[in-house]
Amino acid sequence: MKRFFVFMALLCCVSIGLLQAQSRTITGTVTNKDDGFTMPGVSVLVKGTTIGTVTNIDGQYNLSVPADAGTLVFSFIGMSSQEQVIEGRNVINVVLESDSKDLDEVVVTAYGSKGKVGLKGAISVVSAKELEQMPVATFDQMLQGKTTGLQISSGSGQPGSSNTKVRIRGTGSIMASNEPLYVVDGVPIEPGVFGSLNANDFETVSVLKDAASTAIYGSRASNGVILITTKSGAEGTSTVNVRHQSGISIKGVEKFDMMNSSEKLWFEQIAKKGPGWELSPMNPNYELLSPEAQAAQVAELNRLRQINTDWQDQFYRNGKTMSNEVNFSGGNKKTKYYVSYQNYYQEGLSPRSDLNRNTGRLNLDHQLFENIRVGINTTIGQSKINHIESEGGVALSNPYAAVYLANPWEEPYNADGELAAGHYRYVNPHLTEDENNSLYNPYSKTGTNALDMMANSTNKEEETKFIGAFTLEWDVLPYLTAKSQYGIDYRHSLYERWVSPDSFYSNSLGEGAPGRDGSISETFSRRTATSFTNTLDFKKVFNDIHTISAVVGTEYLNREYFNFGYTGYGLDPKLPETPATITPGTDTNGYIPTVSGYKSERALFSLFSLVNYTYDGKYTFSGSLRRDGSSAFGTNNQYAVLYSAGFTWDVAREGFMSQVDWVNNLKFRISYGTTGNQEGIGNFESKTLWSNTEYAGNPGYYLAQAGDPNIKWEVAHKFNVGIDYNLFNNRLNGSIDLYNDRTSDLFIQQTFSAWDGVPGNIQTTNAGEMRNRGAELLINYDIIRNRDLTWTVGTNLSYNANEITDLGQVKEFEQGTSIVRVGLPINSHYIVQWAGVNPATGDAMYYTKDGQVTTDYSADNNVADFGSSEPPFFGGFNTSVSYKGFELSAHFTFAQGFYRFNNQSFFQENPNFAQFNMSSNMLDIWQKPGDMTEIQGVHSQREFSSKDIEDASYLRFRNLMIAYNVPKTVLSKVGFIRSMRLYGQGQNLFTWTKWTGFDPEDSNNIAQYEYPTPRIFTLGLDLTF
Amino acid sequence: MKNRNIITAFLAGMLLMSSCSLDIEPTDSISSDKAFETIEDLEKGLVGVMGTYGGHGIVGMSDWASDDLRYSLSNTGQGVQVHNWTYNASTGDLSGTWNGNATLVDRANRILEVAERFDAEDEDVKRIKAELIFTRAYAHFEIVRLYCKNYDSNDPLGIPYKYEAGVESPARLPQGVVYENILGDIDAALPSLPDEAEGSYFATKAAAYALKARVGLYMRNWDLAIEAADKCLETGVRLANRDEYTGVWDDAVTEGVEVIFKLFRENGTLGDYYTRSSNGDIFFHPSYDLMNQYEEGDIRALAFFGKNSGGQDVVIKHDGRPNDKPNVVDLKVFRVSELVLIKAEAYIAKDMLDEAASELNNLRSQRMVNPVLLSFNTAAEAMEALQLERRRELAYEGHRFYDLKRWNLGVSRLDEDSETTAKNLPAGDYRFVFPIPQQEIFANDNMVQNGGYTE
Repeated sequence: MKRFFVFMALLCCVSIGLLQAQSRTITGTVTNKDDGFTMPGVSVLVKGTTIGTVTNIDGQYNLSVPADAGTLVFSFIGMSSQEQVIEGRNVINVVLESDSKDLDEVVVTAYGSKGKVGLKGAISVVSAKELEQMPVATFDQMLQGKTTGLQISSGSGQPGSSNTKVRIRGTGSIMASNEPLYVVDGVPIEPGVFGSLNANDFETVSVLKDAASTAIYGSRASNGVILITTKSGAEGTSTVNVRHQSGISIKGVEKFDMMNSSEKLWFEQIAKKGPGWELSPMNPNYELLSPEAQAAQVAELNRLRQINTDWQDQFYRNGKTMSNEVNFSGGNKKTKYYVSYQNYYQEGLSPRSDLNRNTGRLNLDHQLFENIRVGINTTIGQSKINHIESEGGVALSNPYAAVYLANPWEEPYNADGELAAGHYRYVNPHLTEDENNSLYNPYSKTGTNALDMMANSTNKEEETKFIGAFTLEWDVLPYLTAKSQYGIDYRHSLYERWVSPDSFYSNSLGEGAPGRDGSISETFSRRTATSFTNTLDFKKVFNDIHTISAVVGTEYLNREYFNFGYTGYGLDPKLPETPATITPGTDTNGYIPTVSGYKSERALFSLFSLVNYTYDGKYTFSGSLRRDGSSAFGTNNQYAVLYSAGFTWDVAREGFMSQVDWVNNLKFRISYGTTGNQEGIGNFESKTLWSNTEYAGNPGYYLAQAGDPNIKWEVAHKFNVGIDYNLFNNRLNGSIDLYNDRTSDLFIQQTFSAWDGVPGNIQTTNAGEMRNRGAELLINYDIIRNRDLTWTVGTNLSYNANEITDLGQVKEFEQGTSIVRVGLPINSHYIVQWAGVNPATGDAMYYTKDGQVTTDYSADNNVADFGSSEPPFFGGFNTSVSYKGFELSAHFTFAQGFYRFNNQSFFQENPNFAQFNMSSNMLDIWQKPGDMTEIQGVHSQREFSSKDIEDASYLRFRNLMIAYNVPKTVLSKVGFIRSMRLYGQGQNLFTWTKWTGFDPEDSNNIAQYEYPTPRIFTLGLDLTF
Repeated sequence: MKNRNIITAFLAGMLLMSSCSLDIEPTDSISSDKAFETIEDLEKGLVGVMGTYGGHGIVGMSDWASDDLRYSLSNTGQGVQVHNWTYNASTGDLSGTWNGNATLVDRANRILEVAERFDAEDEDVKRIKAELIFTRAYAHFEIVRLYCKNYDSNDPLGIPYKYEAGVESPARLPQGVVYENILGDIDAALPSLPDEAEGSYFATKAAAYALKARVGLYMRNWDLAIEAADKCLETGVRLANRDEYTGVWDDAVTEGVEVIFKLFRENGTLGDYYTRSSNGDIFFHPSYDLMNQYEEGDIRALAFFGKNSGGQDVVIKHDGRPNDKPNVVDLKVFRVSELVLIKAEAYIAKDMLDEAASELNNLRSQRMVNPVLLSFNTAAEAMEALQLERRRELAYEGHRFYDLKRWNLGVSRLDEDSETTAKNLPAGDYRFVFPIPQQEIFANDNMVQNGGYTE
């Protein structure tokens, strides 16, 4: 707004100037230094004013300037701007240089003051622009398909869910965490918990992948590092941004069909289970009934056939999304600020599922004295999440299971419109009670009971998160800065689980069960991670040719957990979810509450250094060294020493390249080093511990844990070669990387002799080895780059091959339906191979290990021929067109060559579960000799086999956005608005896949009625004042 | 130079940081150095060791593998491999005694190590150490009973013997060495063991003598067995009489009567080897063979066999205390009856047949109504009577299968006891010696498998 007034004032001045003041004319020609040609279209502006022009086709300009004009600014896209002081000249000729040498690199700084000691290596930077406006709540999901080497798959459509798998260059550990280290403004934060952070506050997200860039983070960095810098204010005018976005989430389309009522009732006859069979005239009991009873039965069967409840209407809805945000930024020479507030509300696809988040941020920098600065970067956020029942679980209360498993002939409501939970059981009016009991069984009302649970229970999570960084910086010398930072990452969460005393679930519990009159559980957990970092950083150029930059520092990290909770019973139905609703427990009422909780802590103290030496701007040698001492390490391995060495060659700066004008930037990188992973070690795993016990009424101690004094970190040995390029006037740019990461000392369960006294005879030890090799390609190309029209395309492709190379004591071990075996990638499926259905007998057939066909199912015939659930090939591509103020952009992501276990088909295609609805595939069930089908007869037991392993490769139309930036000329008429952007977008628009489950994308290897990813459509408006 | 001073100060500050402690103590468990500070703590360590005692498996495996049970139709696989002698090194049921008692040895050794920190002359410390050393001897011997061949001192394949806790891969010592070590530990423990223990839940002198007598019996060191048994009986324990006998199995008998040493059980369901406590499903009935061995009015038949609501025969010896959790009873480790039987057997071996008869008559008079007074002309005749009486008295207490092995007899089940299961296990069959668990063979490079089992 202020700028607007300035502008108006200037306009006045100019007009007056034109009328009154002496003006003069300056002319000149602009040429390109690289090729010597004249340059059309170069902007020429009187500094500090809006008086300006552009050069003509011959590169010449002619500009009237006020007499007091001081400096001209010449600028052109892709070239360095140049300022010329007028000093009375009338002709000013200018030679512009390509700015490739300035685009050098976005300096990503690990420690120390900004920009002084940049990290070298394989780093992908995702800018704020690419994350803003995405209609998802957590920023890890926003990074999907944005850059190379980063594979992200979301495991839940619950708004704010932390169930997202993030892998940088593959999975490097079998038992320990595979989550990257996340650092916000120098403060390490809890991985995976991003529901209370506002990604619109982020300026850049840098993904650090190789040893050269990550080794400085030592024993926490083997899974890569994601560095986040938040926005800060700029010197000058104050800016106000207001953003609004709202829209809806709607369900995608599943690739399977469930049966309708008549199909299901027909199937029940085949399966000899359920009312379809009990009421069927084919049932042998039918003949024994009186004609009236027979007629009543047939009438009931016909009634059920007509019901056809659409469970999708009951369990799915269209969810609303609304986000409102305002931020203020600005500052002067001494003080800069950025303040923001956001409210984000998103409803899930299920009626009892949403996220309501409020976040605020204050970033403040102040220059205390000429060489001393202080700063704080803080954010506080609170999110309230309503969860569905049993999310992602094979449980009938999970609405995304019940929606498919509920029978279509089941009626959720009685004649009064009330939810009628319980079970269905036919009562034939022409039979006695005993006869009824012997002929008709009760069938649980799967859908209705789930609806009752949804209505009569809550599952809430309330998270409060604070991240703060308090910084003191002191320029001891112009080339030496000391910095001290105290950081805190604080989170507390309150989980509340309430089951109404009036719920069907409570009422169905037996006499004496504590929860028969409802229950309420509250669990409080608190995580406090503090960091205290002190660094000295140094940068100096010697003899104009040797640049040395270095940082040395110490860091102390401490992480504390505290958790406690209770469950109380005997709830007063008139009181809401509060501890006061609990009936105190006595010996007789059975309402004794339970309490639980624990405390734990770990600390890390580190010394580190990073040195870069650059010769003549062309050759950079970099090295880092870090020593981590962790309270969790064994006494025999108290310190992890990890290092890296790298070399960068700036080819474009070589003399011989000066003639190669189509190369703007070309850098070659190579690095090797080691990083560690300590997130697989329990906080006290190295200690021998005793816990309380009792024997014959006497208190005692039992050995809870035999400490392992040798337990240490896993070590990732990372090798990387890469090229960064900007070609053809920067129109084509990107990078190519090849890497070979070997993780050694992997945590493995080692079996001990029973005589060794290790509890359970099993202990984690550092013994395994795994390898991830891969290639990454990043390409961005500006197909058209005009003043009005630009069209860019880009792609990022990543290939990662994982292989387990050593497992210590053993060569393989099973893990659920997977096998961990030397020579195979991790998460390889291990199951019996399906051989189809014998048309003569209807028996399921399987292959033995030797390739023989058999009808005998045995886990001894498990083979590992069905791939892995880790995608070797993944990435994204995008394109955007902008014409004048209009922008159209599309983003696709894909993952290729991975396989998942479709556990849902085990339930939906299994006559053993015929009390639930079945997939319509089951209509093809084998019934008589000669039937050619993939569905075995009812008599043949359904088993897990390779039939359930499916190719989950997918291509997803992740985002389509249309935006219109209102032209400045229009805005200037309005007055106070500096920019205005209107947009509409669709998220997860379409998915191409062979996968027949709901969603091929997931955070694990198995499909078990996960919360599906919604399609989201929003409209938004961004205003800047 | 001023700047230098400042830098020095800054660096000093950074170094100060290195004093930040990495020594963080857990709050929810106790680390070793904090756990044992007083003698009371040491006592707690001993109590924890007592809580580590297992022993159910020895009872269950003996019964499943011998001729005292009959497979039930409601069995869904429980114990079937052991009952049919189709077990191998991976049979989970057979690994419990090995793993449990090796663990018990380790726990005893750990607390013994802790005890070294305390005043060796303190009476409590001496007692605690004695109880731990007794435990070590007891645990080793339990393993010998299941995994050693024919209790032959000359057999090179005994078991490891550990005096210290620690990760090593212990090898099997000759059986003779193992017996020497066990006896050495018993003798070392004896002087400081208490005369009595509340509820008989802790080791006493009587328990140590009882163990010694049992070891003597297994090693066929008859004098040792008799002497130890006598020493045990001298402590004042006596046989339960007919009226008291069912109380022994209900944990309702006065201290000093019948039970010398037992293990407190609050949740362990010993009776689940025969009948499932949760729903009454029968896994094994008492064998007709065993039920036929008792004379009319023998109190033991009444205490051991019953009928369920469906009229089926069930083992009721360990079916729980009255009005308490089903199948939960204390595990009776040593009883006076066993010592009487040990003495009788030792006398027979020494051809002191009258003394043997007298011991057996003493026991029979407390169990049967007007029993026939026994007297023997030949050792074979005496041995037959001894074997019958021992089977009758000690059924379902973890002796039968190991006794058959000791006596070099086979298992032969009646036809009506083996309609759907195996019938005979020949005397001396390799399966009388249980396999070393596969996990031990895998993890311990020095471990040798017992004969007959694939490595």
